[in-house]
Amino acid sequence: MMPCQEVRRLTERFVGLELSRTDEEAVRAHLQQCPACRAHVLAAEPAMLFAVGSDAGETGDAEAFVAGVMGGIRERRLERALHSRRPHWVAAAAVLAVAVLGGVGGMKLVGSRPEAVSAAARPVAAERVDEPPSVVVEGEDVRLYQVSLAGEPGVQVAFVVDPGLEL
Amino acid sequence: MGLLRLLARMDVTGGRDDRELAAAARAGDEAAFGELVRRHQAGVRRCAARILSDVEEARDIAQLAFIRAWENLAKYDPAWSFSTWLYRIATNLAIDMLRSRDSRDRTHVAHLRLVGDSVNASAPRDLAEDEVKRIFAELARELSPTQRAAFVLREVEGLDTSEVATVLGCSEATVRNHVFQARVVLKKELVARYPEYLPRGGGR
Repeated sequence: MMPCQEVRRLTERFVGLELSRTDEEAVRAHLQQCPACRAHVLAAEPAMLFAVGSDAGETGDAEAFVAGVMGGIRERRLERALHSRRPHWVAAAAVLAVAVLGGVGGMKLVGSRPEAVSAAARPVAAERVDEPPSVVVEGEDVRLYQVSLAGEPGVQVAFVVDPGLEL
Repeated sequence: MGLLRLLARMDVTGGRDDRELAAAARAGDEAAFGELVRRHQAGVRRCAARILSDVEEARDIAQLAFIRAWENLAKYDPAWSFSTWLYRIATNLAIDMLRSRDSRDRTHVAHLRLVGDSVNASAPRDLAEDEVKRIFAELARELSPTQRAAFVLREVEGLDTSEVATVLGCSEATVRNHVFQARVVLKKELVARYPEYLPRGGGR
């Protein structure tokens, strides 16, 4: 440990932030062990009261903290994965809905299931197709629900739904 | 300075150093990142606690800092010390937190005047660490967020002036200026509120 005499000699430069890293670490280590030198430094700069205390820290539950961080990372990853899927479905639904409402091409997507088209075309109040057809959007199967409104046969609405999210 | 802090500063505790662990973590190795968290959590939490004067808030900020670090590992430049990079993230988050606090926070919190202790007027008390923390938490409210961060990093954590400059994104001269200004404010408040804790002649 650095001798007291040396610490006293370096005090002014220590307080002035002028010491080399090695000297400063030696002075700090000494001050943690030596109340007399600590008082000497505090006489030169009282605000050092907050700088030269013991080394105790809030480290009691390190493993719980680590587990919390790693759990937080996984949670954020999951959130991001879900978030990145959501716009995909919203965009697909929006595209299909616009196509159907515009009366061009929308039904062609489900052309392999003609019963869906005929069901949608019937002018009944909010009738739902029992077994909705599926289409492939960006490599994934989704279900396509179509609804037509009573009295307005020209208006049809389509919903694209991820089967995994259906209730 | 404690042995653990010294070793952490040298970036060489354990079998792999920080940069190796960071490289492994960047490749997706969660265990490697867990080791980095284990290694640096004490310093980051202590630093955040001193800046924020709130252990619970500090824990949240420290946790967020590590999560941000994980998410931004691709941006980590191994030319920097990993701990400096980490301190930079945590300090910026803590400063943002300080700035976002309502002004009512300043006025609502009662001043934690220590009472009931008999004091030897002829010499400074050798204060218990908890008491020092409480007094600092009170007096540090008078510092700007940047002054507080500079003081904590430089004086309490004992980082190099150059490291603090890197963390705060300013020059070394600016760091010194923040530290000296912080000392002036702390000393003034210490004289005004806790003169009994000053060393003889220290309040000049």
